[in-house]
Amino acid sequence: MAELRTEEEQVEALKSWWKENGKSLIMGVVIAVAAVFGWRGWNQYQDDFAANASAMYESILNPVATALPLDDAAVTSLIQVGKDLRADYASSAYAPMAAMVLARVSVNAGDLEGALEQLDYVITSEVSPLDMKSLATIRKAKVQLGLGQAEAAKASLAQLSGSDFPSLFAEVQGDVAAAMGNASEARASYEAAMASADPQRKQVIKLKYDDLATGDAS
Amino acid sequence: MLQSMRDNSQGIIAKVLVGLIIVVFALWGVDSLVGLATAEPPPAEVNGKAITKNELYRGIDLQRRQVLTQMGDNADPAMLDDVVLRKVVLDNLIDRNVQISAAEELGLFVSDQMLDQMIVATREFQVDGRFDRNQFESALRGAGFTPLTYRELLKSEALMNQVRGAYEQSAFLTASELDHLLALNTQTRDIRVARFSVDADSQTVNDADVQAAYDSMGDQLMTQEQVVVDYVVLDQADFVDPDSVTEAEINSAYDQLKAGFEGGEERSASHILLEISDAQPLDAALAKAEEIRTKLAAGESFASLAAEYSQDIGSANSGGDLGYLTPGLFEGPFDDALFSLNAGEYSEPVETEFGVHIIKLNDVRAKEVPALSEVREDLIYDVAEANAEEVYVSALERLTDLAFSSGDLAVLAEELSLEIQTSEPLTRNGGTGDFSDQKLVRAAFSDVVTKERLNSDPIEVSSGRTFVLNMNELRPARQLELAEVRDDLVSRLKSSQAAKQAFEQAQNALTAAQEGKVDLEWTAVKSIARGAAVDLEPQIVEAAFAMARPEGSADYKVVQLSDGTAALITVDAVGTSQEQIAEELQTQISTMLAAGEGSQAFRTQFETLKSNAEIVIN
Repeated sequence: MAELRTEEEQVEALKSWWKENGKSLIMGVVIAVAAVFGWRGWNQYQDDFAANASAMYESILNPVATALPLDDAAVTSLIQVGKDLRADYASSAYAPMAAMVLARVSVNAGDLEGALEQLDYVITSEVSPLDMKSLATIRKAKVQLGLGQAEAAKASLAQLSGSDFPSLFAEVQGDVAAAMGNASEARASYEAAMASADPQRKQVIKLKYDDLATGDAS
Repeated sequence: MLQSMRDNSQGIIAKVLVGLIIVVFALWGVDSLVGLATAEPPPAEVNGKAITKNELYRGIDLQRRQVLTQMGDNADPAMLDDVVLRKVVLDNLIDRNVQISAAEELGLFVSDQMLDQMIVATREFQVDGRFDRNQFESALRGAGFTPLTYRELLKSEALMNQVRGAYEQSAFLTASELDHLLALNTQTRDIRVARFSVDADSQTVNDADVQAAYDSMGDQLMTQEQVVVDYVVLDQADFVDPDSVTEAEINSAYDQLKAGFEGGEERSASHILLEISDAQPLDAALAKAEEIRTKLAAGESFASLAAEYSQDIGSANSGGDLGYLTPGLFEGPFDDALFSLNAGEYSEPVETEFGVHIIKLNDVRAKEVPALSEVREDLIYDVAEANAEEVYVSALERLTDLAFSSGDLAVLAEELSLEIQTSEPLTRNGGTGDFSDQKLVRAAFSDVVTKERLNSDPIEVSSGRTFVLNMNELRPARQLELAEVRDDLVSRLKSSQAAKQAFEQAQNALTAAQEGKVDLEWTAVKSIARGAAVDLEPQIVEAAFAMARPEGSADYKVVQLSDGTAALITVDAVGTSQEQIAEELQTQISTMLAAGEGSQAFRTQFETLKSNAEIVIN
């Protein structure tokens, strides 16, 4: 810059530099500012998104955890919250989690078809954890048994090769076999179920197991 | 040299370095440098997220507080041991972090607003049903939290609950499943039982069998470790000596007593009560009160008006007299009215929870001080107790010094005129009397007493009773001699032989029965229910329900009972109980069973999560 001797020349140089680079400089600053705000806004949006879904899920979970049995009005309103949650927050894990809980609400209200629909949502949702899908499938088979559809229940269970919930899986397998009149297969499944069951469950399974006793086995 | 430093520090590299240091300090503070030097791995990591030392220490502190509040002074120091606590707390933190990490993986989120709502809705933080900031803060302080750490805890708790809820609260029983289980559970069975028993006394056992049994059971035949201690007791009650109390002390105590009465007054009052009821609403009661006041003003006597109008059954017939009252006995408007009257005056109508009163003040007198003669005995005893406490405290100081400085109890006993006593043999479960106190038992088994054979520290068992222990004898655990347990072994062997024979008899009977040769003494029991048989052993009931339904040929089963009897069982019929289960109860049972299934689902989910988690313990 030694050749720029006078002030005028310096100003001239600055001006031409600005002409050349001014736009890209301003663009750069604008982009940087936009990026920062955009990032913040995106984070805020994500938090708000999750927080809303979370609050809706809580509003379903809370009454089920603390205020059973629910009256008809409560059931209707919870199911509606579940629908809203699915409509607006399908990409959040809260949607299938809510459906898990709502399946129970439906069963308790005597609406087995509704329960099937909730469980199917969990099974097909892309955001359900794998083990939740597995649990939902086992429960779906339970509901199908409740509807008297033993074949369908068996087909549902066949979707699972083993399960993350071995005891429950084997127990429902036993229920299906018993419903189809296959006592010895049912007993074998119940036996497997008892092996990894909690003490209270074990008693319940033993009730079913004992009832299918045959002369040879005892 | 300084000049050269100055020159160098002008260089570009030096400037860059200084600039870097400035930036580092500005952004991360001094901590960044100190931290680098003392970096230590965190106690544990779960899926790459550290459990910090702070978390661990806070957890240990909380755990210790909990043990102490639950068990108080009786808390076993072993449960407060840092190493034990550390393990428990760290395990717990790891479990929590496994769950929280799963929740975050799922993108679950709890906002500050939700936390606020939870806090406001927490009953422990409310006063009169509304959230109270002071109550909130003092409750947290009491539990060892700050608002910030509490929010953190609440947040992680909420996240865990959300995941847990999806697995646990989502479990259900369908109606048909419940019906099936209830039918099974209320099933009844008609059975027949034949019992076989062999008299144990008729059995013979030889020495070789006894020896063999002794050899195989050797390590179960142990005595417990026992310790016998010598001890002295310093008891405050021993220092209470009413005879030593002087007149001067009694007088000064009496003066203090009198001071307590000073300025107090009592007022003798009468009243007329008009109750408020549906038949006599407030307006009517007030109108009647005015009517009474008019009569009073006209000179009618209060007592006769009370007898006529007052609805206070207790006082109406005695002229409304309530006796002498001290301030505060009846709070509120009644008191205010009574203590603003002059003797002989009566009040405006006063409303209280009982109704409308007209109150008359009869007399005012100073509170009566009891005469010295009345309270003398009590005072003497009070003074003697206070004196004893002083003596006890100074003796306790001396006792502590001596217990520490001397090797045995002799000096203590002599100097403080205490009697050396000897305890019964104590096990770690404790003994009787004072020695049922775990503090004494722990001291008796402490290393100081049993290994170093020194005096224990003074142990205050109850307020005003302090023990110092010194070991007399230690009886280590040992195997019992054959001679000591022989009788016991012989009778055990006889019983087991008899039981075995009984079982064989029953087994033979079973075979015969299956071949159709049934000639047994059956006892028939109709309609037994699960878990509720009156005259039957639980083993028989359980076996009876585990047997096949009687279809076609009869089925038999042998069960050995705990008294050595063997029972042959057969089921004749299966029925259903006529008992109807109320719908409400059915719902409860269904909820309970679903909860069991849910908690098993959650447990399984958690165990899978944990086994898949990357857990590092440093």
